[in-house]
Amino acid sequence: MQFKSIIRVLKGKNDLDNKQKKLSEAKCVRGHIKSHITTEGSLPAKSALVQETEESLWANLPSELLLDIFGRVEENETTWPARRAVVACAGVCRSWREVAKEVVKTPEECGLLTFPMSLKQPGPRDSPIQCFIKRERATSMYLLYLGLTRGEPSKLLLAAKRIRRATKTNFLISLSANDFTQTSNNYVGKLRSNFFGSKFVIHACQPPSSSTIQSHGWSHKKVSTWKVTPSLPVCNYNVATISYELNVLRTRGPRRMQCNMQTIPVSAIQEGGSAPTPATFSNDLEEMFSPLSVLTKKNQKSTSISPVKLPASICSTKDPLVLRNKIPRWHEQLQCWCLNFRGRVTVASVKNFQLVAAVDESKNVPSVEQEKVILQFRKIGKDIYHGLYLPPFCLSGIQNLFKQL
Amino acid sequence: MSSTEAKKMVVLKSFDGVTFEVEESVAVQFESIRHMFEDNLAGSVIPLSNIKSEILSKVIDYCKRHADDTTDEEDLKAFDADFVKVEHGTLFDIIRAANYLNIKSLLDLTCQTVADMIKGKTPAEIRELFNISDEFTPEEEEEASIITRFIYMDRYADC
Repeated sequence: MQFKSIIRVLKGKNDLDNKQKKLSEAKCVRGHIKSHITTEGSLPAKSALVQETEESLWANLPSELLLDIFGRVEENETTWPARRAVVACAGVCRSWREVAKEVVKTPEECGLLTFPMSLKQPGPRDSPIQCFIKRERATSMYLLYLGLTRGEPSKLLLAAKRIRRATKTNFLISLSANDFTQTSNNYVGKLRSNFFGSKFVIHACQPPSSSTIQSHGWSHKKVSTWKVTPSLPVCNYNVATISYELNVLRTRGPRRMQCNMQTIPVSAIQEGGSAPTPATFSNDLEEMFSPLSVLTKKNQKSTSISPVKLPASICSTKDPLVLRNKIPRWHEQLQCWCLNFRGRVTVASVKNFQLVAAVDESKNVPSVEQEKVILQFRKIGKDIYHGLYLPPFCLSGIQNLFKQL
Repeated sequence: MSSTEAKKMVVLKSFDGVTFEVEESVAVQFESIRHMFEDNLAGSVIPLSNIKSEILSKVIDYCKRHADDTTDEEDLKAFDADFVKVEHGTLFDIIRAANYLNIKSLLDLTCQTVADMIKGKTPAEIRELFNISDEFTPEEEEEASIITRFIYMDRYADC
């Protein structure tokens, strides 16, 4: 057993070694591989063998034990920044990452956002995820935070920066508040508005449902293609369109907005339907990343990262989910338009809104579903806004909130 | 290790050939080999081919303490706390042994210890702590750095 594990460790090293060599032939590789294991094809000396075994001890802890340990690291840590711990485990080494991915459930299952990938997964069914958007006027930046702890935003999730152009306004959306480079791995996509500010399109920089979308979570693909062929253009995939009915009288009456979620099928909210969530089929997070993919449980065991073949219809679903804002009613006594935020609204604002699904009768969507507020948005103070979302919405969809401001 | 007639003894043999005689009341904690001595294979030596004598003696020590009903709770806690104050290599071996022998309480103790060590550390600190080399391909490296950035992104808000 002991000896076997030594062999296994060595074997792993050699495989890696070969992989490394191939890579380095193709392009310049940063030399992060330890020099003593790059001996040319020969068996390592015994001392190296011992050293290697010791080095890899913890990396090669049997996965059932790692599962146990990470489970303990994760349990009861439901808030940030304590939740960093389990994410840190995923950053240690390959084997740890695989296990950490197994330990952490999807937001829909556990109601928590953990990995960057969580941003692309649908939220929990019963309890909406609460987030906050903070506007920084000085830098034209909008910061999306998860929850509030002691009145302070707890975890930065996404950042958007407004770039004004002559005929349009772009909001670049990034994982990092200080990196909006479109070729960066932090880059998520952008929101583009038309000249009048009446129509907005959300572009993701990765196709919404191929295996490459997970890049901000787990993918290696997009990153590598960019690195190998830097000339590859930055792609834009239309994820959603938001339009406002032009209101001639502007100030009179509530705004009407409509969101076409190009990548979420209406079936997500149909009777018996669920937000197509990868969480239901496997622990293999290589393939579970997007609420948009309708993958079947076929290749759940495959460890390879071969691209999943998807029907073309998924990339831009034929029957997209359409959301509209709930029309407020006119309150005679208060002489204003009112929406029921269940006591959550504290600041009256034209920017408060609630989105519900807009579906026709034929779609067999229960009326409860139709009434369910999928996303709501309200002002809670100067430059700070509160958002709630439910599946089939994923956070990247919340990007559309940014344009509200 | 002398035995009294009343107590049944179990003989365990470590990877490096050292034999240990353990009271059956202690050895019942070894879930995975329990059937071997309970099937009345009295007298025969049970080989534990992947546990070193040094580790096995620690594990037996632990089980003896926990099999002893006379020790009070506080003492046991103190003993446990001391027990895991060992080198990481030893701790690793104990975890493996506890896993192999399927000793639930010891596994809980050691895994919790490791979990507590991990908490609050950055990936780099964890690698250093456990002497793990980050054998990532450049792509994986990128992914790891995205994760790391995601963890500490909040710091922007501080500056």
